[in-house]
Amino acid sequence: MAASTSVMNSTDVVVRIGTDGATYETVGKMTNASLSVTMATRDASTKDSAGWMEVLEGQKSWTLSGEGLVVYNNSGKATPDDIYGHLSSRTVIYIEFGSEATDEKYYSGTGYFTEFSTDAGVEDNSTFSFSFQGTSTLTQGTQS
Amino acid sequence: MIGKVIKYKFDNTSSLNDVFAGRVYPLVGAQSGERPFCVYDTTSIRPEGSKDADSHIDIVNVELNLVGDTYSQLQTAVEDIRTTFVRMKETIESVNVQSCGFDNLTEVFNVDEETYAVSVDLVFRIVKS
Repeated sequence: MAASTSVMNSTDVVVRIGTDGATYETVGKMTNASLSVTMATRDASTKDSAGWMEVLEGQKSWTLSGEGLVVYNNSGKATPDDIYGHLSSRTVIYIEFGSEATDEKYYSGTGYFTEFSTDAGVEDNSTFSFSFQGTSTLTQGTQS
Repeated sequence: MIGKVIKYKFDNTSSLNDVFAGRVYPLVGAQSGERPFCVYDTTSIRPEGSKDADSHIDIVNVELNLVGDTYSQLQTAVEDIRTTFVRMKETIESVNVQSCGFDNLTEVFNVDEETYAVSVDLVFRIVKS
């Protein structure tokens, strides 16, 4: 089987986290998730570049972030409390970003939660957000 | 669904029931009916969902239209409505109200019928999942 030919529904794209690389929990009540992969460049400009900047490949890095609605008692799901705990204890986290549907692509790697925040206004939903810094390789896989 | 909450609170809150005596109707009321009466309708529903569910909280905007013979009667009723509904946290007939806010009030005088009308806008937070 191959991945769906339809435009992916972003609702199906979730963030899953774990601490041992074997078991994962989906972060519950998320309203947005983002993955960003970048590659830095090295300046390779010379006197022969005719005024144009030339670059060579550099280090690759990746970050992940998300937002959601605050529910602390959410059975079977990772909660804002879990994320805060992982950040506070500086735990290495195994993380996956993508659809859980068979044959769909997902990205995985390890890293650290680097930012956690929660907002609470008046007569509004209490929300949370987090940032995650990946370390080493980001791997692309296919759900089986 | 929110209609069940409104009807229940009007009928089971003595300050409101003493005045309206069950004359609380959805969408439309009889023009020549006994006054005062209240007509309520839902003006909008905004679901607050996530990747887990279509809606965890429904934000329900409700308009209560009070019609009566005296201005003071309706002013008192508005205060009673605010006391009864605002910041309520209660499950009524399986409708789980997390909270309610007062949003706006407008007043009208009907010259032909010589009646006063007050429109009260309330915003309910209904727990869905």
